[in-house]
Formats: sequence, structure tokens, C-alpha cells
Amino acid sequence: MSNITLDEMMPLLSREASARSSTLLAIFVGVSLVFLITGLLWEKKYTSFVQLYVDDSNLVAPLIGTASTINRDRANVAKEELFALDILDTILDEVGFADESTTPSDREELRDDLTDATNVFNRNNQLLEIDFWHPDPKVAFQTTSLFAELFLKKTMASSAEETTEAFEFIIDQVESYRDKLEDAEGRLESFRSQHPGISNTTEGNVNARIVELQRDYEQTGLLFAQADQRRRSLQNELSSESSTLARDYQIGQTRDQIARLQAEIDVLSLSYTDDYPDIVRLRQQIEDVKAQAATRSAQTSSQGQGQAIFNVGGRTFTGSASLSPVYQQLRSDLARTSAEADSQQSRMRQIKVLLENEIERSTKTSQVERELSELTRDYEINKKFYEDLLSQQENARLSMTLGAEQQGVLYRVHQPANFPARPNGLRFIHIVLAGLVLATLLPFIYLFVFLKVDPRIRTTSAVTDLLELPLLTTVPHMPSPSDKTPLFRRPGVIMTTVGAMCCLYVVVFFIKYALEASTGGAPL
Amino acid sequence: MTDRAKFANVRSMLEQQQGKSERRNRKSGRSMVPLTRPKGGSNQLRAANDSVSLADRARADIANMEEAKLFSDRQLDMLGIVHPRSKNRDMVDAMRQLRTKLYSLNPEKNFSVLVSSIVPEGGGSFVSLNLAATIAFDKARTSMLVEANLHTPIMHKLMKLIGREDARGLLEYLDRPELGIEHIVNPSGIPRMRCIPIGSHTEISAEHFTSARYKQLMLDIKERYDNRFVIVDGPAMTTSADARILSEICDYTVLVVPYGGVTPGVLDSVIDEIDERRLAGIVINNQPA
Repeated sequence: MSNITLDEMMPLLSREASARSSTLLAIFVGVSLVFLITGLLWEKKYTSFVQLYVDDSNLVAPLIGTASTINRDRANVAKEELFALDILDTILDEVGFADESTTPSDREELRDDLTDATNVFNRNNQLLEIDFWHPDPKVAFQTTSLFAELFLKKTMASSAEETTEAFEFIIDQVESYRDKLEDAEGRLESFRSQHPGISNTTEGNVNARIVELQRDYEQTGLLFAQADQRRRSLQNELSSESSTLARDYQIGQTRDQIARLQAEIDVLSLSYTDDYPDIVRLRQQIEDVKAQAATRSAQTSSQGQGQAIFNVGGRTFTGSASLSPVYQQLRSDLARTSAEADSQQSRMRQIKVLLENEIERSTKTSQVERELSELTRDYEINKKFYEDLLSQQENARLSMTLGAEQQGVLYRVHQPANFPARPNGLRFIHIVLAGLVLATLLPFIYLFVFLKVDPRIRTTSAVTDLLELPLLTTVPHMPSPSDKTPLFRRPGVIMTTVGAMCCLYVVVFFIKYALEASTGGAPL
Repeated sequence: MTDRAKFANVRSMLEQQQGKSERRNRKSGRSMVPLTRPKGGSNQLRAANDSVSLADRARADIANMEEAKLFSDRQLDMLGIVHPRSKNRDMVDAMRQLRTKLYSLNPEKNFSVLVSSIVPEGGGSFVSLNLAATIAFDKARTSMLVEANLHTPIMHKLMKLIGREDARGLLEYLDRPELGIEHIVNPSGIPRMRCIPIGSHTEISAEHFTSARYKQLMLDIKERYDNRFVIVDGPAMTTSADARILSEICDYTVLVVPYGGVTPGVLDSVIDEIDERRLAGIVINNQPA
């Protein structure tokens, strides 16, 4: 890249333009001619389009009972259907692109041309647009109309077919589910007859019963332990209480007897002396009573605290001792407590038996209930599907009717095909104008780029600034009087050439305009 | 701002300029031809008076120079040689500018300058011929064009036009010791301009220009008249080693860069090979109008 300063650029461009005027002129003429020829050969594009409204309430989705899942690219789907061989061939024949003499290879090529000139895209969520362009507006219009017509026909046919298939499918499904439901119902009834009393709540009841029995068993066990403990303590108490009561009773009797004899002695002593026979006898009796008491006491001690005589545990008692009230009370308590303990023990055994029975029953019940729930589930599912299918069967019947009356089609014509009055895209006038502008600009762009890219020394700054060398002078080009300026570097020739090119543009433009006007065509 | 501050600013500006100049010289590693200035005010006046009288005498001497056939203005135009009445004022001005800048390198003394193009067909001969012609505009100065360009000689055309086809030239002088300077100095068809054509030669050899005879010749033709400026037309720098040898014998070297014909890299490499103290400067040639 050369370092050309901005103030040097314009004079440099001017110098180089004059030095390379023939090159620049060649570029101008070349670009102008290329654009002029391109403009002449350029085919005008007449685009006709048709817009189809896409009906989301399609037939299949409600039949299946699901939400609409047709969110896929409708344009691609439509393109696949549009570019089917039957539609393309129909258009080729009807519009006149092909006839009987067209060879298969030509027909293939025509199909390709047709698909290349056709564009299908989604205008928005609900609209599908089919565009077709052709140099002839009539052909564009005919082709687009035919495309729309054939597409709708095909879509309706496929939609009806789809609906019928769906209806038949639903009918089959209804019958199939009806059989399944009847089968499930039969099995459930036969099971219930085999296991009467079994219901879905049986297992729960058994479990509650087991829990209750376990609780009773534990409570009864506690009561038994309590009663048993009380019985043991009463037995201990009764045994010790019985022995004490017998001895006290004998001592008391002896004392009472001695006291009574002493009282008689005291009464007699008031009247008589001690040697009175009654007194002597009484004294003798007292001694006897004492001796008996001593003997009885010794006997009682030798016989183990009188157990043999007052055996509380045994039901017999001997001797002259009589039962004490405490003992009797204890004995009564003991008897009641024993009865209670035995009763609790017996209840415990019964509860245990019941519990074992319930547990065994519970094991059997869970198996039966599992089987029952399976049968019930099958039955419920079949029943639900069957009911759904019954309702869908009605929808399908309705859709079938709508389809037959062509009311429920997927696509409807939103805007019919238009007859294109004006060509679209680039036209001759655009190309001509672009050609003139580019033909004028490109030589200077070429020059500018060339000067920027070419590093060779052309300016004083390249010597003085870049290389820091003294510049003595710049010698201008000195043409010799005998030198002849080349033809295409002469200003006159250049101006004439440029003028001729502009004239050529104007002439061609008017000729083309006159031709278009005579044929009644669109503007250039 | 005080006077002292003003002096300080002026001093610093001068120092900056001096420092910038030194830095630039250090950076480029080149020392160009220094300008020689006259010394002393009174000496200057005396020298000026002397030079005026010398110039008058020189003009009288030069007016007595024997001139052969002279080219007409039309012929000069046809040959691409400037003359004072040329209609191509840009060309005349450019050559005068070149001449003035060369004079300014050493105003007190005549000089010899090698004019050489960087590349062949770069316009070295054109510039040297026109420089010699431009120096000869001044009636107090003469010029001598020495053709040392073995590759593309042009003087023989001029010689032929003025009827000197058999003129001996430089190579014959160098080959034949019996020839004197007067045998090879020829009129050029332009007033006050003499020329030494290359002459006929049997071999092209750079040894010619390294010989003592050539050096003596250059010395003699320069020293013989102090108002004679010697212009040596050398070959292209990139194709011949002669140009470098010739530049060592001349006082100055002028490099001719054809417009849009040489990259800065090529010019830089050429300058690296010559004695930069003798480099007077660059001439851009053939710039389009």
C-alpha cells in the first residue's frame, strides 16, 4: 500500500485518469455494454400468487381425541404435495408447457423449471402462499390458479380418505374394547362368586382386627400379671397371718380362763381364807390351766408354729383355735384374686388363638385381594377406553358427514390467484440505470484501488516523508511535437465515446419502450 | 511573556529543530550534501563584486566560443530539449528548479554531477541533457554533458543532426592515449553547451571509468573553466555497476525516479549502495500532466 496523503489523492487521481484514460474508457464501455446487453436479455418476472387459509380444526385430531399437533412446517408439507408428479404433469399439459411430442427428458426438465419457478411458504401461522413467476403474466396466472385448484382437490381427497380410515379404525377399536370389557367383567364376576365376602375393604378390616386382638392380648397379659402378683402376695400374707392368729387366740383364752378363776378367788377371799377348799380348788385350776397352756405352747412350738393345726394353705385346721376375721378376709381376697388370674390367663390363651387365626386369614386375603384389584383395574381401564371411544365414534361420524359435504377441509382459498399486471424484481430500467452508474464509478474505483495498492513512487511525499530523501524536482511529462496522442486518449475521442454510449442507451431504451407499448406490455 | 522567556522559547525551538534534524540523520543513517554558505558580510560584498566582474569577463569569453550549427527552437522541441523560449513552461520551471537546487549545494564553485536513473528507460539521459541545456541558459555559465551511458547512448543522434557523425567520444579517449581533450569535446547544437559523446567502442567494460585517465579527464574539464558545470549521463543504477563508480568520481549524484516505475524498497536499496554524502537528491521524472 502506498502512503498517499489526502491532499495528494485528488491531483494524483486526475493525473492517473488522464494517463490511463484509454483503460478507464475501456472499462466504461465494457461495463456499459455488459449491462445494456444484460438488460436486453433480462426476462421480466410476473409473479402470481395464491393464499390458502389453513384450517386448524382438522378432522383427524378430534377423532383421535388429541390436541392439534400439526405445528410442522406446512410449507414443506404443501410443497411435497404440490410437486408430486401428477400435479406437475397436469399443469404441464393444461397450461401448455408440454404436449404429446414432448420427450420424457424434456418433460423432466420442464418439471424442474416449474418447481424452480414455484415458491411455497408460510405467510403467517394461518396462511400458506404459493408463488409462481413466469415471463408471461397469463401463464403465471394460469399456473398459480391451477396449482391452487389441484392442491385443494388433492388435500380434500386425502383428508376424506384420512377421515374414513380414522373412522374405521375407531370402529374397530370400539369393538375390540367392548370384547375386552365384557371379558374383564365376566372374570370379575366369577372371582367374586368364588370369594364371597371379599371386597376391597376386607384386607383392611382384617388388619384392624389383628391390631385390636394384639392390643387385647397385651392388656390381658398385663391384667394377668397384675392378678398373679396380687395372688402371690395374698398367699404370703395369709400364711403369716394365720399362724399369729392361732397362738394369740390360745393365749387369750388361757388368760381369760385364769382371769376368770382369779376373779372367783378374789371374791371368795373376801369371805374366806386361803385354805378355803374352793379357793384351793380354784388355785389348783389356775395351775392346771397354766400347765395346759404351757404344754400347748410347747406343743405348738415343736409342731412348727402351729402349721399343722392352722394350715392356711390347706383347707383343714385342727385344734381348738377358731378362724380370725382377718384371715377370713384374706382368704376371701385370695380366692377372688386367684379366680381373676385364672380368668385372665384363660382369656389370653383364647385371644392368642384368635390372633393366629386372623393372621392366617390376613395372608390369604392379601393374595385374593391382589387378584381382585387386578381384575377390577382391567375392568375400569377397559370401561374408560370404551366410553371414550364411544364418544369419539360419534365425532368421527359427524366429521365423515362434514367431509362428504366438503365443509371440513384443511385448506381454503383465502385470496385467489391474481393476474400480475406489473413485473416484479429487476427490470430493464433498473439494469440500465445501474449500468450507467457502475460504468461511471467503476473506472474511478479501479483507479483508486490501484493507486492504494500499487506501492510505486508517484508522489513527493513518498520520497520526502517515507524515505526522508531530498526531492530536487518533479519533471512533468514532455510530449514531443512529433508524438501523436493515442486515439483513445484524446479528450475528443473520449467524450465522443462516452456520449455515443449514452446515446446508445437512450436509443435502446426508446426502442424497447416502443416495442412494449405496441405489444401492450408492462412498463420497462 | 518576558523577553527572557521569549529568548528561551526561541532557543528551545532552535534546539528542537536541531535535535529533530540530528535524530532524522541518525535514523536514516545518511548525511546529505551540506550546503556551503558564503562567509562574512563584507567578504560577501567583495566576492559579489568580484563575481560580477568575473561574470562579465566570462560572458565575453563565452560569447567568443566557437559554435557549430545550432538547433532551432523547433528542433529542440522535437528533440525534447528545453530552451528559454519553450512553450512548455512547466518543464522549463522544473529544470530551472533542479538547476537552482544544485547551485545551492555549492554556490561558489562549479561542480560535476552524475545524473543516473534507477531503472533503465527511467529518463536519466533526458534529465541530464535538459539539465545541461538549462545551465546553458545562463550566458555566464557553460555546461559540459559527458555521456557515460554505455547501454542507451543518445548523443550520437545529436551529433548526427549537427553534422558531427564522426565525432570522437569518451571511450576512444580512454582507449587511445594520444588523443587530447580537445579531440573529444564537441559542440552540442545548443549555445554554451558542450558534449563528450560515448563514442564508438569495441567492448563494454566498467574498467574504463576506474582508470586514472578518466579521473584526470573529469578533473580537467571541470577545473579548466570555473564557470563550466559538468553533467555526466550515467547508466541505470539497477543494471550497471558503472553508475556507482561514476558517482564516486563526480561531486554530486542525482537519481532519477521514473513516475510510477520504482518502489520505495528499490530506491532505498540503490541509495544504500552509493556514497550518500554525494547524493544531491531525487528527481521524479515523467509525471503525467
